[in-house]
Amino acid sequence: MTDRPPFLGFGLGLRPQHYAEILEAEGDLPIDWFEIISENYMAPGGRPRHMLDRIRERYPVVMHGVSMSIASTAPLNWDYLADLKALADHAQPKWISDHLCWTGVHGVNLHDLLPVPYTEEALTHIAGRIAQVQDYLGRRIAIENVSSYVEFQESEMSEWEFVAELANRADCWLLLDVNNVFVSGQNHEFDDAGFVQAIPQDRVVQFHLAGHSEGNDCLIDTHDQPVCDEVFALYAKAIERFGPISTMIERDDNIPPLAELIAELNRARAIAGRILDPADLKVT
Amino acid sequence: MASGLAALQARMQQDILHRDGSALDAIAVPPGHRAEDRLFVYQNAYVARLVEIMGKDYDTTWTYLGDQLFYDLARQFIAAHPSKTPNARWFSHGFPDFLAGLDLATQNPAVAELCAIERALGDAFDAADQPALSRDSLAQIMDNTGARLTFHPSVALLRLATNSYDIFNALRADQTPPDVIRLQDETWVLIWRKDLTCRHMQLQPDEGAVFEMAMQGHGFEHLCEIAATIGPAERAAFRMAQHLTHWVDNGLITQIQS
Ligand SMILES: [Fe+2]
Repeated sequence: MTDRPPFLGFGLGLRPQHYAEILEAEGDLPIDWFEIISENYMAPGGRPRHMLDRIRERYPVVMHGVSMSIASTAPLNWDYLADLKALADHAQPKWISDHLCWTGVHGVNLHDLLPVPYTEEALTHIAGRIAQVQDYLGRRIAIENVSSYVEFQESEMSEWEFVAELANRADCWLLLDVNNVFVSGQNHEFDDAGFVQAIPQDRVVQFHLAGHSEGNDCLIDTHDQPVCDEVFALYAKAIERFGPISTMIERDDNIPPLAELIAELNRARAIAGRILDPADLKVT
Repeated sequence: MASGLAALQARMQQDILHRDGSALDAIAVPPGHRAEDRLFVYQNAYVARLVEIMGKDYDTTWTYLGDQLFYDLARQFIAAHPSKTPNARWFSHGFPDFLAGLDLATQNPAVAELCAIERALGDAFDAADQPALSRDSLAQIMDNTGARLTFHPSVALLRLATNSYDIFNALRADQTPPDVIRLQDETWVLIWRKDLTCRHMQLQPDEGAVFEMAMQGHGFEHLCEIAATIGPAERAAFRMAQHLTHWVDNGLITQIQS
């Protein structure tokens, strides 16, 4: 696809704990770009918006939301979408993403990324909603695969078939969360490398890397640990398939000093560097 | 409307909120695993996530109440008021009012006030930006008897019946809080943001009373009349000038409407 957004290089999720260090470095950090959690910057003013503006002066930014609830059967929340659009007009992100999930019905928000059954009905429903959102925002959005702990009896296809078909029908981008593929693969006992191979090459614009933790009966997507070796290994396979794709690390809890995240990011950089031609990894 | 999908989502939500097994027979898990265990991950995460957010929004109240009581009250609030907002940042906005309506409020009326102080600080944190007026505009107010003041969007004035503000300050300074007392006269605490920092201060009763009137939109002349009824009438104009200077110096006033 010719209008695919640019390769931004290797980035991090922007977290308030690191604001001061990022600004003091005045751009002299081995971080190419930042992803912001859209909802955290939807408030009208104060420190979040101020910091966002200062960081935007030096770094490309992408917006990542958790509340679009694109897979819900509740009506789209147009107030939320208006706020999202206003933030995008202000922040000028390279792209906007949210999750392939629903967050609630009947007016309730469970503040979780809930999975869907992989059915024809869900495909039609979600593809239609993505098209509505893309029309409204005037741009393609990127949809991210989530970690899940359950699947549904009524599913008619695999998650990777569903994701691939959804991207084509909705004509949207994909954000491939490598950790989520790994976690769901462990939890539902599918082949994570096979998942990666099934995703259409021309749809993916971003990779997420993150850490997870071990629950009683399954892996849980907690973003409170370093990225594990298995996820880096799967990342290598993703780089082999998709080439230079903007990569970032999500850390939301147990947040370490910036230097530790940069060290993890450098590991991703080194993996990509071993697989790809240096010319392909030039940030445009 | 996607009817099969809608029904499934309704059942799943019901099970996450009420843990009643509504979704169990819709769930598929690999051999050797139980649907209950997997659903529990969502049920548990739902409450844990919201309690964690409330713990951040109301961390002084949490310290004051202790873990067990705070968790219990937070869970009661979550059960009574499921989040309706796409932004988790706002979902616990009703917590101070919820606490004020409990029996606990009779036993310890400071708790809901302490919680309201924290909510106002949270609101001030990311309220809209607006440039504040400087001292140059003082004359414009005092020369204009009908002038009405517009305050910074972050400003909140709390009228407190207990020593909750002393309790708040003690806890924030890692000191043992004083015992709760009901005040003979209510006191005013002002909360706002100046530049990027949230601030709070107690107002003297006369200043608090006129500030409240000013926030309600009363003009300058009327504020002077109020000031004259609170203290010695002959010093009312002087005191109003002092108050105004105090407000302007703290970045509280953003506009004068005549
Ligand atoms: Fe992710």
